[in-house]
Amino acid sequence: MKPRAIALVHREDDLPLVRAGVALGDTVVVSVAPDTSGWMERARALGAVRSVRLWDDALAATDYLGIAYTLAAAVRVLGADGQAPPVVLAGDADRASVGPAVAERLGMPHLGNVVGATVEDGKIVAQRRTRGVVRRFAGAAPCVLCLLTHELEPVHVNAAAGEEETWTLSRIGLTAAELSYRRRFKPVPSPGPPHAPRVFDNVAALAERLRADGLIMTGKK
Amino acid sequence: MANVLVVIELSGGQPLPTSLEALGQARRVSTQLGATLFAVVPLERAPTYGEDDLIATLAARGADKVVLVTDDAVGKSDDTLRWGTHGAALGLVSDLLSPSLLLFAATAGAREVAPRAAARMGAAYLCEAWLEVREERLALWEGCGETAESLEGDLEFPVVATVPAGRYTLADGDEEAEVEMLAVPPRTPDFVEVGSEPDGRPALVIVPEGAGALGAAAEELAGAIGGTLAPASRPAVARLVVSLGAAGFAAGGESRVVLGGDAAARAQGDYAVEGDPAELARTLARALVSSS
Repeated sequence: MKPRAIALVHREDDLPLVRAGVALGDTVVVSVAPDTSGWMERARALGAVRSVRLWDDALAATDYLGIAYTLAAAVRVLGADGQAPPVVLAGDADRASVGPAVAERLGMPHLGNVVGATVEDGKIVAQRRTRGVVRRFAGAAPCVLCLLTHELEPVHVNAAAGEEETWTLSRIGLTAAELSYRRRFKPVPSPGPPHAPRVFDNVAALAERLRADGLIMTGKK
Repeated sequence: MANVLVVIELSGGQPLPTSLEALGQARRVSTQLGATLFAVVPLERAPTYGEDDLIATLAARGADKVVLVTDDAVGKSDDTLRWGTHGAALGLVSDLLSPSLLLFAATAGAREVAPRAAARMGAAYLCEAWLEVREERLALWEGCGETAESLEGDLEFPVVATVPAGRYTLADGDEEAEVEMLAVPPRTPDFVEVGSEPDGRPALVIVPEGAGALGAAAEELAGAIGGTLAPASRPAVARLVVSLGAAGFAAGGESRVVLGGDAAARAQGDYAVEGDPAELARTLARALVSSS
């Protein structure tokens, strides 16, 4: 059965997720947003077969886990049609918290720091970058892949016509009350300590630290 | 606050410096708040006689208790945290110890596992956090300065947070710590590694606009770190960014280093060294080449 993808797009910078999904199979775009400012049309231009915008005012005040509950419920609804189990694609930029939380909520395997994914011999093969090496991992759907969207090629495409579905919480079996308790888990604006770099006394100490962090791959031209 | 846990990430069998820094700040916070501090180490196998430096190091750096969680799957990892290899160990300790605070070093691996560990616990999650004690209470922020955000109230719920490199210093502890061993049952892996290749991203050496005198030193450093030169104005994402005193550079990376420059320039980095940028660049290049 041909895989399919569900791309969790929260902002325009996440559009590379749609292109990654289309490379895997039929792709549905889901966005939790009060409005999508035209990026859903661009997602359809990239080849998304369906676009779903889900919003309720309760989502504005909830935290990463409330958003994850919502997206997981949407994935379950989309996946209830008996078609192929999905590969859920989430962005891995900024806090990178929603994708792993969705995976936990859905009970799916997940892989982060992903820079690409393909289908090979019926398996999902993802390229994961850590500590100076890109490793290829093979697994099966359903799974969640968290992609480093800021490292993927930017999307330059015009909008395409098509229908955007608008869902509310009731469509996915949730209520605002179920999310409201997460309000207190969400950090609020509050001045904090200023950033200050770690200052090393000399470059030898700096070099030792960069090696220990796994960031130095020495090479001589 | 009862239990504070710090997950110790290893590289080549040694704890990452950032993990020890997180342990250090957790030590200081735990001492002030009367919490018990656990250093949690996922391992493929328990250390044998003669290999117990790890436990001694964690005790010396502040752990009250060291929890070694053995799991065959950890041996199949590439040394970085990954949910498929380390998630079971993290779930086991969080179920057993019910931490009020669970900390990770802010590494690429932690970005993958920490939010999922938080979701599993129903915890709040902070990325690259500050943790301090203010007025005898734990204060937590995400972000810096005027744009920071904090968790308000009495924090009657667990918090999972990552701590960035260089933010805190090491702490001193006792010579000994209690050691507990846990074991995760074998299971089928979720993802299997099928190949690898070197990271194609270069390191970047950022040269301030118009600073022609830095050219030779910058090229020497770029050669030493396997990188390329870039002007300060170019947006880019690199493995490592080294700025030769340039302020306002646009490139981002896993780590940003500033050599020389004024205070404003150095404030952009995660790491900095004061001095003449050209001299620092040459010295760093030669130090790296001589030790490779």
